[in-house]
Amino acid sequence: MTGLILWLARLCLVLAFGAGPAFAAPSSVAVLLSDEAPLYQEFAQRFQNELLSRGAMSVTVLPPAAAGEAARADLVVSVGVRATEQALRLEPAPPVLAVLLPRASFLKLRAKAGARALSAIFLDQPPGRRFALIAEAFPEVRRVGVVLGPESAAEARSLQAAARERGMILVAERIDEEEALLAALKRVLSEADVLLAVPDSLVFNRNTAQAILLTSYRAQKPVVAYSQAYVQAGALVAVYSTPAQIAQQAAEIVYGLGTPPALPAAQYPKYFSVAVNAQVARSLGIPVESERVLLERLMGAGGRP
Amino acid sequence: MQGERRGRGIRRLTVSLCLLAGPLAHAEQTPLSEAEFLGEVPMVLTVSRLAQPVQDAPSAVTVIDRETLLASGFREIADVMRLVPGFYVGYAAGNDVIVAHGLTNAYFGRLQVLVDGRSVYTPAWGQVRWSMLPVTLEEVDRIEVTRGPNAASYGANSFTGIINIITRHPAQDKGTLLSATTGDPDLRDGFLRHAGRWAGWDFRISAGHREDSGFAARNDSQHTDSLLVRGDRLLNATDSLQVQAGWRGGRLGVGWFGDPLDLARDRHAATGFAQFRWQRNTRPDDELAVQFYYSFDRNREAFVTRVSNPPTTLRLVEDAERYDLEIQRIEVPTPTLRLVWGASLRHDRVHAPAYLGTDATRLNRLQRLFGHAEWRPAASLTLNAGAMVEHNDLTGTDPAPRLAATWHVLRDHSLRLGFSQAQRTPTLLEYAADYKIVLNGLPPFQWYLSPERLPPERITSRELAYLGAVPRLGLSWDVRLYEDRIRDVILADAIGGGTWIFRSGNWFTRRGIETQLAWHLGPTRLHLAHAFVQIRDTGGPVKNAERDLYRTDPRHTFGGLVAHRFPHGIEASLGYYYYDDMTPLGNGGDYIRAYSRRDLRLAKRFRLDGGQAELALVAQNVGAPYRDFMWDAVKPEQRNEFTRRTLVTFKAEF
Repeated sequence: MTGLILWLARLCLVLAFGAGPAFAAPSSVAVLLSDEAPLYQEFAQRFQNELLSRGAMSVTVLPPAAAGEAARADLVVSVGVRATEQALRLEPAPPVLAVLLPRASFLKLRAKAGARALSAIFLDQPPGRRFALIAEAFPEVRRVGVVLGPESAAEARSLQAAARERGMILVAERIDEEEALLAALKRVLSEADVLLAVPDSLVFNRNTAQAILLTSYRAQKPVVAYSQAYVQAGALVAVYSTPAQIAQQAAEIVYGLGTPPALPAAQYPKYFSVAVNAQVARSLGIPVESERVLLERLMGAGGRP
Repeated sequence: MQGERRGRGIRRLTVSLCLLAGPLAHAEQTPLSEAEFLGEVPMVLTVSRLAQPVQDAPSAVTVIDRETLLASGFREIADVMRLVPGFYVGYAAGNDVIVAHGLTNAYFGRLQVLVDGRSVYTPAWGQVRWSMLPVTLEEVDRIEVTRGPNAASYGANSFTGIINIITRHPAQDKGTLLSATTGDPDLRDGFLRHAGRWAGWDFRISAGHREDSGFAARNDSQHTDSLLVRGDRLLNATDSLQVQAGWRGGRLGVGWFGDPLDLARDRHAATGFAQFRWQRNTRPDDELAVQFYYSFDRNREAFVTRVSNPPTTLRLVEDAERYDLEIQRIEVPTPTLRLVWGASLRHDRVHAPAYLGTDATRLNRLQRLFGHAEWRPAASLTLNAGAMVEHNDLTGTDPAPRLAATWHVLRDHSLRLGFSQAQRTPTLLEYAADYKIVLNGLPPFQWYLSPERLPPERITSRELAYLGAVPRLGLSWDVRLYEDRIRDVILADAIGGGTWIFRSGNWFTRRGIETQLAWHLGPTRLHLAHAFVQIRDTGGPVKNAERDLYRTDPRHTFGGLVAHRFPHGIEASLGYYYYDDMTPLGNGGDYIRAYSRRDLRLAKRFRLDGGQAELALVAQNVGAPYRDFMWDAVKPEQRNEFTRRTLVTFKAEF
C-alpha cells in the first residue's frame, strides 16, 4: 500500500519535472543471499524498504538455492562472499554489487571476475576512520600496533599512511603462520600503546580472539576491533557498520544507477557505529568517552571515507 | 627444527614493500568470510576474568601482576606477599612458609588462599603448604590480595585477608618453555611447560622438579616433583569449560637434629586436585558458573626414638580431603546495580590418628549462601553490601556481613568507609586435638588436647581508606586506616607436664595504617608497601595471652621493588624488604629481631634458534644474614639463618 502511494507520488513528480534519477535506476534488482541467517535477512529487508520508500523498481530476494533466477536481473546485489561467488558464475553476466564482504575477499574475487561488472561496499572501515577512532578514544596514543597476515598485509601501506596523517607511528609485524602469532603479538604489544585488530583469516579471527584479547589485556593494552562482537568479547572499542547501515548505502547506490547500470568504484561503508566495552575500560583504568560522543566526533571529523 | 621453521615464519617489518607480495602467494586460500565482521565472538574478558578496578573494590586490594612477579626474582609465590602492605612472610623451615596478615602463627592460618577459585588451605591446619602447591610462578597470571576480612564474598577462613591466585589461560602460553635454576642452598629446579591447541581445547601441561637443602642448621630440605594440566574449551559463543588437575609429591625434611621426640626425618608428602568449571556468559557482565573440585593432602612420617627401651617407632599419618561444589551467578539488572550470588557445599575430611587420637576420619560439612550487591546511585558514589550465611558441623550457623561506601571525590580520588565481620571456624586439629605420644614401657604422654567445644573466632573490622591515581603517569596509591577487633581467639595453653590445650576466649585489637604505591610507566615499575600496626587491649584466659598476642606481629613492615627494562633485552630490579622485631606464635617463643633484606635481579633476554631465551641472576639478601622466624637462644640447630643466596635461571621459550 505504502509502495503504491509512493509510486503514485513519484509518478506525479516525474510528470511535473521530467525523468529524474529514479527512472534511470535498473528496473529489476535481485538480492542474492549467502545464507538465510537473520543478518542477511536484516540486510534484505532494509534494502527493500529503502528502495520502496524511494518508489523504485522491483526487488527479488533470492536464497542461495535459487541463485540461478538472478541471471535475468538488471543488477544483482550479492550479500556475502558466498553469494558473490555465485553471482560471478551467472550467465548471462549481470552487473554485481557485492555487499557484506571483507575488502580482502573482494580483491580476490575481483581478480578472478575478469571483465564482469563488479563493485562492492566493503565491511571494513577506511583506515582513516579507524585511526580517527584511535585518536578520539585515546588522545595520548602515539604508537599503534598491528599484526598482519597474508590477507591483511595488503593494507600495510594504507594503514601506514593513515597513521602518519594522525601523527602516529605504526608498529607492524607480519606473520605467515598461526604459530607465530603469540610471539609477534608480544613483540608488538611491548612497543605499541594500542593494538589495532585487522581482520585476516590467519591472524585476527574468531579462533584467535581469545589468545589475542587475553594477551593484550595481560599487557594492559587496549584492542581496537572491527566488530561489535569483538568488543563484547573483550576489545575496548570498535568502529563497524551494521547490515542495516550497509543496506542504506547500497540502496542509495542502486537508486542512483542508470540503465544499463554503470557501477561506481568499490567503496568503504558510509554509515557506521561505534562500540565501547565499558567494563574493559574500567578494568584497564582507561577513561573512554561514550559510544555516542565518539560517534559524533567521528562523523564530525576525519571519519568520512 | 620447530624453531627454525618459525624463524622463517616471522618477518620483522617496519612496513616495507615486501609485504605487498604476500596476498599473491596465498591466493588459493578461502576468502575471509563476512562472519569475521558480523558473527559472534566468544566472550573472553568477562567480569570474572577482568581485574576489578581497585577504586571500586569494597575492600583494600593489592594486585601483583606477572611482570612484578617475575621482576621480584622470588622462587616461591608466597614471597611475593612481601609486596603487600601488612603481610608477613617468614620461613618456619626452608620448606614451610608462613604468610600472615596479623596473628602471625606457625601452625594455624587465618587467610583464605584461592588458586583459580579453589581453596588451598588445608582442612587440618588452616594453613597453606606453599611449598607443596602444584602451581608455580610460571603459571601465575596475577595475584589479587584483599587486605582485611571478606567472608561475605569468600567464606570460611577469609579472616584477615584473601590471596587470590589467578593462573594464565593456556591460550596465552602457546609453545614450549624450559627453565632450569641452580643456586643456594643446593637448589636445583627444573620446569617444562607445553601449551597448544588440540581438538578444540586450549591445553597446557607442565612438569617441574624442585629441590634445595633449606637452612644450614635445619633438617628442612625439599625434593618434590609436580605435574599440572589445564584445558579450556569454548563450547559455543556463550559457554566454556575449564578442567584442571595437578599433583605434587616428594619428600620434605622435618623434625629437629637432636630432639629425641621429634627427630630429624623425611616426610613423604603428596597433594593433588581435580577441578571442573563450566561458565556461561550471555553478556560480558552476565555470568553463571558451576564449579567442582576435589583435593587431597597426604603425609607420612615415621622415626624410631630411643628414649624408651625397647626403642619405639613413632608414625605420623595425616590425610585430608576436600570436596567442593559451588554455583555462582553474576548479573547486572540495571546499569547501576551489579549482583553476585550463589551457594556452595563442602566436605572436609581429615584422617590424622596421631593428632586426633582416633583412627576414624573426621568430617566437617559446610553449606554456604552468599550474595553481594554493588550499587552506583550516582557517578560519585559506589555502595557495596554483601553477606554470607555459613553453616558447618563444628560451630553451627554464622552470618558474615560487609558494607562499604566509596565516594569518588574526583575521578581518580576516592574515599572509602568499610565495615566487615567474619568468623574463622577452628580447624579440625584445633577442634578435636588429642595428640598422645605412646612410648614402649612408659605411660602415654598427652601433648595436645582440645577439651572444650571451641566457638569460631570473630573479627569486626572497620576501615577508612583514601585511593588516588594519576593514570597518565601510571601512578596509583592508597592509604588505609583500620581497626580490627578480634575475639574468641584460639590459643594453645600450657597446663603443666608438657601438655597444651586449645582454648578460646582470647582477644586483641589491631589498629594500623597500610600504604601502598604502584608506578608503572613504560619500562619502569615501582611498588612500595608499608604498614604500621599497633596492637592493644590483648588478653584472655590463656596464660600469657596478653603478652603473646601483643608481640606476635611486627609493628612496621615495608616492601619495595623497583624494576626497569633497559634496551637490548636487559632487565634489572632491586627489592628491599623490612620487618620489625616480633615473637610470632608457635615458634617456641623465640624473639626475632628486626631485619631488612635486599634482593637484586639482573636478566638478559636474547633470541635463540628462533625462540626467546633469558638468563637471569638473582641475589637474595645481598647484605648480612638475618634471622627468619625461628631463632633459639641456646640451640644453634634451631636457628633459621638466612644467608645470601645466589640463583641462576636459564629459560628458553619456543
